[in-house]
Amino acid sequence: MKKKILSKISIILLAGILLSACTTMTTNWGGVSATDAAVYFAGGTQVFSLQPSNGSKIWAYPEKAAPAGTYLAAPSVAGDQVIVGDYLGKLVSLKAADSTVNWTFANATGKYVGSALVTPDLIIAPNADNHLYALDLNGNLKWTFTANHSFWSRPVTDGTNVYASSLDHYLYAVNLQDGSLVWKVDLGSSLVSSPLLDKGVLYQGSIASTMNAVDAATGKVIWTQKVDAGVWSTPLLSGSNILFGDQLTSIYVMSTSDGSIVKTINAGAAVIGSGAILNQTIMFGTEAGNVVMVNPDYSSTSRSLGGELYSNLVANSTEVLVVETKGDNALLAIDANGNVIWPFSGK
Amino acid sequence: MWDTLIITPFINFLLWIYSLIGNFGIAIILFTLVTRIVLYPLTAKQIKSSQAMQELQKNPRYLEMQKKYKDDKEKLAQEQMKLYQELKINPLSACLPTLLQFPIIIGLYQALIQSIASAPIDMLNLTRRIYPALLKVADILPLNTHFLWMNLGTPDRVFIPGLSFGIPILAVIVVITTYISSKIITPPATPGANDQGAMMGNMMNIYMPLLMGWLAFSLSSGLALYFVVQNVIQILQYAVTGKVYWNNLLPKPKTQTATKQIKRP
Repeated sequence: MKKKILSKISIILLAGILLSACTTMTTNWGGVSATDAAVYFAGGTQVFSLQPSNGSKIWAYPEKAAPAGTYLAAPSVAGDQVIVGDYLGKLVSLKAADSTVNWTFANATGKYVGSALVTPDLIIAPNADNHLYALDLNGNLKWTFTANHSFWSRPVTDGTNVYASSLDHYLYAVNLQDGSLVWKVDLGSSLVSSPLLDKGVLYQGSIASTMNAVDAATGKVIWTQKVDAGVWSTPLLSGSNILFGDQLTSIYVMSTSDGSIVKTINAGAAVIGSGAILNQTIMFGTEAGNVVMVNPDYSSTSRSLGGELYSNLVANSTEVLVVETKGDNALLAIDANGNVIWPFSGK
Repeated sequence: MWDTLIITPFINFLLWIYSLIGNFGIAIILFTLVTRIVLYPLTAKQIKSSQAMQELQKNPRYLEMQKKYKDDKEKLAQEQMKLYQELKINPLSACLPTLLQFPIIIGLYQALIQSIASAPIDMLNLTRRIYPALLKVADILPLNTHFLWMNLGTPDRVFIPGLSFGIPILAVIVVITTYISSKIITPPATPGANDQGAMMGNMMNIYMPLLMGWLAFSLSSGLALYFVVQNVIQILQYAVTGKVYWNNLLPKPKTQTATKQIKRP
């Protein structure tokens, strides 16, 4: 009888575990940032500081791995501080040299999906609890700005305003000094990526398959161009064109002047993350695990790296850093031809 | 296959309700209600079969064979089978509807989790699941996941000034409603009957609410809301269709029961 009771309890527990497992079937992608001194990688359970030359580990924070999916926002660098936001709503400043905690900001109630913007005086952290939190470099709150839904991407600034895109369909311009609203513009659907700011124009993609050019001074839409599928990434500037991918199979070369499509490159799979430029080669990662290398004449080649590549690619002076989701490695450093310089296992 | 036939249609149905109402909490309630109505024929059959089995346990022949063959399990099983055939009861017919419901319930659960889409990969997957002919991504996303005091995408916690921790109100409601829904359908123990089943039932009545409460505590409150609505509907369905034992919720005077049992011949 005891056996039967035990087996019944085991079945219930098993069902519970299975039910819990259903919630963690998907793997979110991590984020990476780089300086000449170090590569900072948020790999899910920990944040790592790595040697840029060979990927060897300098430190890991926290020392004991957190549950999977805790650290996914790309760390930001503010002088000798590394700013790390987690999925539990905590923003931490670490000493870049040894990961000692400088301060912790725990006012947010949502996830830090996007990384913080760093200015000479402020750290502006976007949170999924609908707020932008502006802190001074000692972690003291200076102002907050509230939208109607989550901020998932890093804001940009021109030194006067902060431009932040929200899932509530709005692109916001907020005064950098006091967080007051300057203007807002409804771009018709959720904005999950950062805008690109160039010469007073913001270029912002949306998941409703549009790329928009917005006047940074007034918030007026200059042009809107329809593409084949949702845009999840920040465009890259290449001369008078911008380049970005969509969630089907295309990379677009689009004119900044009127939004006309100069060329469409078949990437073979969804391009979710932003590209990076190394030695005049523009590189994009695809969901199928390929890196697509676009030359200055917009001809392209691709190379398989494995896994699924969702995160924004990041370039330093010698290499491009590629976060590999569901692959053999967690992070790869590649050269402009797509050759792997070093892999990092994420442990 | 599973995704195409179960999860994606459920997600679209849930989001279609949301697009009409504009409130995700009410959409979850209506979604649960509609699916329970659709599954009602199966539920009704299950209730009927369970009742037949419960009645059987009060049958004098059944009680007698329990006593007579208590040391011969094989013979007991044979005799029980004969009795089932005579009374035209299929003991599996109570389980079969439950088994058929199981994939649908898991599908509902996954649809709910994926609709909340609280991280980029979830939203990316969600945009790929939406039927463009039925719903527009631009109109439907992001979902407004606020309902009453809750954010349906995160575990429910109510913070009270002076307390350093949040109170999981919805998880407590899940525990209570799960306990009630399982307790009121358990018939009172028949004196002389095999108490193994009753013991098992009592264990389930304790462990199941705790398990559901733990899931509600640790997972998103949208799911906890689904559990609560599911339990309330189940209680109502039993109240309408079958016999419910409200007295089970009251504490039993132990001495009286013992005396009664002694007095029985």
